[in-house]
Amino acid sequence: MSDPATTAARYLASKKVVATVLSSREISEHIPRALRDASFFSARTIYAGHLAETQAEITRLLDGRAGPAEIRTRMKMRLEALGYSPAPGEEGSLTDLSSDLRTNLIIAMQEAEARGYAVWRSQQDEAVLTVWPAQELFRAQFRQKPRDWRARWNEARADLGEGNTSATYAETKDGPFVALRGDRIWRHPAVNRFGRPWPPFDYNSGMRLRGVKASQAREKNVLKGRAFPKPARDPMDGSISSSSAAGMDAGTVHAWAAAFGARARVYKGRGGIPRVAVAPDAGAARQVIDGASSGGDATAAFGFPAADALEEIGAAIGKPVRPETPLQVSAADVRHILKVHGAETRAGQHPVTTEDIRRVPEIVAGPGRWRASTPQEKGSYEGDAVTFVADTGERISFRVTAGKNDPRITLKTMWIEKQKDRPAD
Amino acid sequence: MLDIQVNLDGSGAIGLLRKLQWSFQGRAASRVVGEACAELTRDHLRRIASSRHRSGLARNFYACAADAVVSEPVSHGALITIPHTGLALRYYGGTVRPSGRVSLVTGRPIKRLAIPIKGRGAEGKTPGEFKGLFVVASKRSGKAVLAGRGPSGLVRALFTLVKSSTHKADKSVLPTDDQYTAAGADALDELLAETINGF
Repeated sequence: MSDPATTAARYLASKKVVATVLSSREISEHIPRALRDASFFSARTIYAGHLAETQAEITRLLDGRAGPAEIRTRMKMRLEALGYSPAPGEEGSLTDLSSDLRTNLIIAMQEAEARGYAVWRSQQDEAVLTVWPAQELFRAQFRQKPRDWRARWNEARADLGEGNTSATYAETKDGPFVALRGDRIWRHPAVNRFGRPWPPFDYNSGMRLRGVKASQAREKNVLKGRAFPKPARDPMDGSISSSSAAGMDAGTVHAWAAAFGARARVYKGRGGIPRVAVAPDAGAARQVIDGASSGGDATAAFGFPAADALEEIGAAIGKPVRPETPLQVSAADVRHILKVHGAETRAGQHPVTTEDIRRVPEIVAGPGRWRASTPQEKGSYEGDAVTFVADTGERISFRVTAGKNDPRITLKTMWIEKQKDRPAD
Repeated sequence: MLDIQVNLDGSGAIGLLRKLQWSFQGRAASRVVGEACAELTRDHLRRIASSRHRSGLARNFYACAADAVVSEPVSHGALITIPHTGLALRYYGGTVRPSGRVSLVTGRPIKRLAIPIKGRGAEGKTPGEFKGLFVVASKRSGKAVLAGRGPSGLVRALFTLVKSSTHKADKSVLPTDDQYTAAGADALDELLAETINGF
């Protein structure tokens, strides 16, 4: 897949393809949101290659480089080549993977979700939220059988309780469905099946959002004084997403998480409640590393160290490290590494490149060992620090913040020793 | 992909005020003008969608185009991008010719465009979605169609085969410059009012 150009395309391309035999209902009941949101899947679709190609094609559509009819044709031809045929009596229905109904729904939903994210992200700005602090859910596309949005909206509003939401009371089937951006009603399950703050809020929904100006929001009593919403955290900002797996089938959760490899971790949170943490795809760390030279303080997670690596790190610092602790990189650390070791001229050492820094997760997963950092490696840093000494010559030091609140193992510095000069460490 | 660059300017006292605002609220002004113009574009495309979309087609071209509109700030202005295949062709017009790439159906380079014939169930589809299509050509006129057999065995022309397809430019698919200017100015007024109210 060539690099996606637009925000929407990058959003879709960042998703991990997961083949599954589960139905939509089973997925929503037994797969934690953090995993669902990071996955590209289709209910009861076991053809991983087909899903991966469909994902790549819809990514091209989002960049304006492909049309939906061509994608649908390719989907049908692939399924035919795979020997797929619908169950008798299901031909042409939503459960027929090759039907117009199903293929159109997949394309339309993936496209709308990614587009919705791109628009939402462009609006997370203080000035935009000052001028349009509220938004309105409205019918943008005609539907033969529209859902009862008035009932859904008022149910969510009642559930949140007067005083806990800025949402207007919907008097008719057309609303008004107005609330401050960031209000909890936008993610309430009665209004929003998927829980993401951008539309669509249900399958094949023709409802969309539009901004409501501050002056109008005050008239509707939605905005009080200057209580403007703040820009929301971007789920594509490179950090870890986590959600509860309470009440879900543990085997199913583990099987889905396994598809993510080092990107997902199932663990026990506070009170022993099962949770899942998901790291961003490799593109997030790559963006931080490649963009470091232009400044900024972006951070992104590489993924999670393996269980045996966590044990070694724990032994090195003399305290246990929580399983959901990610390895992460910041732009400032990349700048430091490239400045100090990027033009290395000392005997016995190779200069470090951005390509070397990109390979950090691969290096620490390879042969080598973890040990406590030496005073020289720690420099002026006074907290816990560990160094991975790779058999291939790389030495990578990390700061360790292993407590309950926001635990992380952050890249500090890196250098590469030539084979013949490597000390017996 | 369709890109619209918005540069807000003006003359006289209002123009001076705008320039001052741009100087003092540069980035904020760019974001707000961009979003106002993006919202205007979305509304415009949705209005077109309700009047131009033909029922029976699964995909609403203009409604999907409206969903694709995003804005981003650039120096002294904003960039509105609509990455939606086909919209630039409608706006600028132009001639479409076969790309010459290999056909999914025949496995040979594409030499003709297949234009769906209205009312035959082919609109919004490609020939690859039909089984057993064949070419019917007139020796006299040189015109050709792709046809298939219906359930009753009757031959039915589904696509016209052409060497090229020319489209006139249709500037009405986007708002006018005046509408963009008004939307941007209106949003700037709101930003200014909220900023002043905050002091």
